[in-house]
Amino acid sequence: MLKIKKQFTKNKWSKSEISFNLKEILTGVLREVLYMSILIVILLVMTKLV
Amino acid sequence: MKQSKRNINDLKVISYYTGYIVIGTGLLMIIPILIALFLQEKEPLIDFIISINISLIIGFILMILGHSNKEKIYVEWKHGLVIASLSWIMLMILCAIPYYLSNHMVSFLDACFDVMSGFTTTGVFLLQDLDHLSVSLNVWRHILTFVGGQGMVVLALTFLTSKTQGAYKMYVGEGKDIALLPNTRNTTRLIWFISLVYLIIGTFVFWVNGIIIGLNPLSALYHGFCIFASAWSTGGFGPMSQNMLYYHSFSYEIVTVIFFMIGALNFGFHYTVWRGNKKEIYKNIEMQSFFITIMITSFLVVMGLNKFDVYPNAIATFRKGVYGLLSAHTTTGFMNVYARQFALEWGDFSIVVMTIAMLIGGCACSTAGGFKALRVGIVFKGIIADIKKSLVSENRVKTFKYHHIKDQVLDSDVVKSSALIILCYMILFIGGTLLGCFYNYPILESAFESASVTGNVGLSIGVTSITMPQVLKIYYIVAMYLGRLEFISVFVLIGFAIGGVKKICARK
Repeated sequence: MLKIKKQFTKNKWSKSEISFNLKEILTGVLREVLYMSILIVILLVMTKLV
Repeated sequence: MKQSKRNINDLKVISYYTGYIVIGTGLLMIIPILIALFLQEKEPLIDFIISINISLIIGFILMILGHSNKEKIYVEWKHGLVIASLSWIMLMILCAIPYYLSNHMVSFLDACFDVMSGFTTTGVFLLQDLDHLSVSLNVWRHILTFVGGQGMVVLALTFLTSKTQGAYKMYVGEGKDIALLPNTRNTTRLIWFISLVYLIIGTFVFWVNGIIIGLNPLSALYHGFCIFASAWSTGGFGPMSQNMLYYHSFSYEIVTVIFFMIGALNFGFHYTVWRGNKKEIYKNIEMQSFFITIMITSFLVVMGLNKFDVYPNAIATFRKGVYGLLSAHTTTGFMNVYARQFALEWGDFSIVVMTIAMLIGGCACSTAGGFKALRVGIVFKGIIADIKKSLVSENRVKTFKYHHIKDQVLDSDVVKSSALIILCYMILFIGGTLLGCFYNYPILESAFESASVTGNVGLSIGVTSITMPQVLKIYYIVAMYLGRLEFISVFVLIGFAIGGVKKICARK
């Protein structure tokens, strides 16, 4: 984990303010997937009720 | 004399950076060339070698023409906007060459139509016999839509240029105006970083899903990449002519919904969520507007479908109706019903709701089209603010705010510019509807197809075909182009061209 973090911070892009570590990326992606999954469930329930 | 020198300098700076962007996108043809080599697709290989050579030669000529004075020239707003809009036209023509050479297109205009549809992430196509298209050309179609989602100018700024002078003006010209980071090059890099992270994750998820539904691993990878590229870019292309119907899989459909919904979100939103901001999802005016319109339009479509008992149960209504609505609202255009089913089975009410959803579209600064949820939210909030102002005492000054990434003041200029863009979209949409009616298509079908191209959606009700009138094809190309670049930069290009012609006439 530390190695990956080091790699990301060593990356040229990290110097230019884009310094995400792997945990931030995965958490961000999972959070967005979760938001969309909740929306899909709400729509599915709505379809069932209507 | 001074004026004449200025004009030449204008042309030089436009020529130089347009050449830059043409080369950047032309180099992408290396990917289908490698695929054609690997799969021994000889004819497509020759087509792509011819095309890449033409693109690079034209790109270098443009750069050489504008090279001499580039250090001294300051990139003005008009330059940035003209470069962005001109590059798109040049790239449409150059990227259409491998399409045309493949013998899958009836005419070069059709090839341009398909390329513009790809670049603008629309998804309607005139390509013939898609199921027997070479893998390299099919991948090329999906690369175009993936790159188009992020923007070709964004691509060139990210990977080619080392200078940031004037970059923001070109970036804005491509219809993205949010500065995620203080430096434009870093902003464009961030957009690509987010997209590439999702490309890896999304392709992997589709690959696994493809194997589960019975595709062999290599085929699952090919379909996974193509479908992810289309879903993320809200493009709507599929590697097979049946589009999503080909997979016949609920899980595949659900995964596409997740990715095209995420693809339709603002890159600024991705950035803040990745930075750990959990509150943005319900505080952001664009998210509120986007999810509210999705809920309302989904409800209405389900009501409309249930009224005519189109589908036997809730799951079928969700898979066809809500899926179609989400595909329309996010401007993706994936279809799991046949085009004519919309016209023959869905009923007028559902078609009108779908048309409205297509016009609203996804979020600003995303890969989605339409007049954007942010503008709908701002105009709605502007109306509420005006009502509140009328109700309070005249002596009291009240400032209204909205939250979009950060708290911002809702002044009349913001509301006015949002309303103006919505107005432009509506004029373009009405023009397409009228033109369709002129050529004897039913009004509802004309409106549906016009909304689909104006909002860069790609759902078709059956109007788009090789037999449709050439004028309608050209109008749809222009509508896709204007809709994607959000008018201003194209208007500047037209103004620039008219100004140039006037000067030439005045000299004579």
